[in-house]
Amino acid sequence: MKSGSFYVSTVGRVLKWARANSLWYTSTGAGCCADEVLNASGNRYDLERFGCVPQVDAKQADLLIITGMISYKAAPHLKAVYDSMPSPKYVIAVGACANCGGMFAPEFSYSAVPGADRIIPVDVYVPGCPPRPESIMNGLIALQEKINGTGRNHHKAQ
Amino acid sequence: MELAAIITKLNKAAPGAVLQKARFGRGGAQAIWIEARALPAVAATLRNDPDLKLDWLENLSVAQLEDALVITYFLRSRETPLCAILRATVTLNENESPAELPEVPSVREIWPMARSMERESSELFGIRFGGELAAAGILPKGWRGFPLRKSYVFPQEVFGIAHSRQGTDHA
Ligand code: SF4
Repeated sequence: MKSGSFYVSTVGRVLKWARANSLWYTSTGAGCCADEVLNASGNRYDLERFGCVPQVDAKQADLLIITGMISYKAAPHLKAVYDSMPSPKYVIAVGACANCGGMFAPEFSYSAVPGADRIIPVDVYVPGCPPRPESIMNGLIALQEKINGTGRNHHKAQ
Repeated sequence: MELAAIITKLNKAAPGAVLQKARFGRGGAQAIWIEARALPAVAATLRNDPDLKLDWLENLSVAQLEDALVITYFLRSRETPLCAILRATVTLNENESPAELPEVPSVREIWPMARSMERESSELFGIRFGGELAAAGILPKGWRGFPLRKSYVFPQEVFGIAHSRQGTDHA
């Protein structure tokens, strides 16, 4: 076996496994969805058992959980938080607001960004207003599967 | 003290200032409608009269009705059990130049807490309180227009971000 293929297969798999199971997150903590993220990391749902530990400083985080509405004024700051995270980095958008503007839709509000993906790339969208902690957990597992390359997009391929 | 007594005092201090009293919203509260021009005199009376002492501006709100802006002052006293609601209107003149924006006398010398509320209303509605258009810094820098007016047209794009749901997966 050439060393290159050993790296890509075995070392790569170990790296992916390690990354997927140590997703330290920082959260924008805005909106009502932030409470659901708190619930998800609380002792009943216990996101930490997936290695998902809250971090205050974005420089120590691998995962950015975006909750709540993003205003145009806050958009540059969200971008700055994302830019200050070390690679590889992942983003989960939690709730209708972060996905598409939600009830602060561009039709009704002059100041709401219609979705976090207008500013930074988003890996997983968790729908709901607010999503239950189970959904957030599900979103995290989906991200882990994406990192591990065992994504659940089979239904799309068929 | 009854509302009628407050109005009597106001009529004495600033004749012609009180236009009418009217029910406020769905509750039982009564609002005193006054001439916007007479605002400083009315405010000074309410604030300084020893029987009234309405020294606490609890809230200042602005709403647009047709082509007029209604400015509402919610007053309380820290020494007497009184509260009062003052309302005044200014007419809007669309397509106005900055010098023609509606002007309302400022009450920030009488109720210092009016300062931040006036700045906010000024930025969002385009009212010149005391003759100046304040920038409260609520809107991002370089924002055009007064977003809480009914005639405000939503921007097509802000800072290069399209302000619509079109053109995305979730359109
Ligand atoms: S999606 Fe709903 S629950 Fe979540 S922040 Fe927006 S309004 Fe609140």
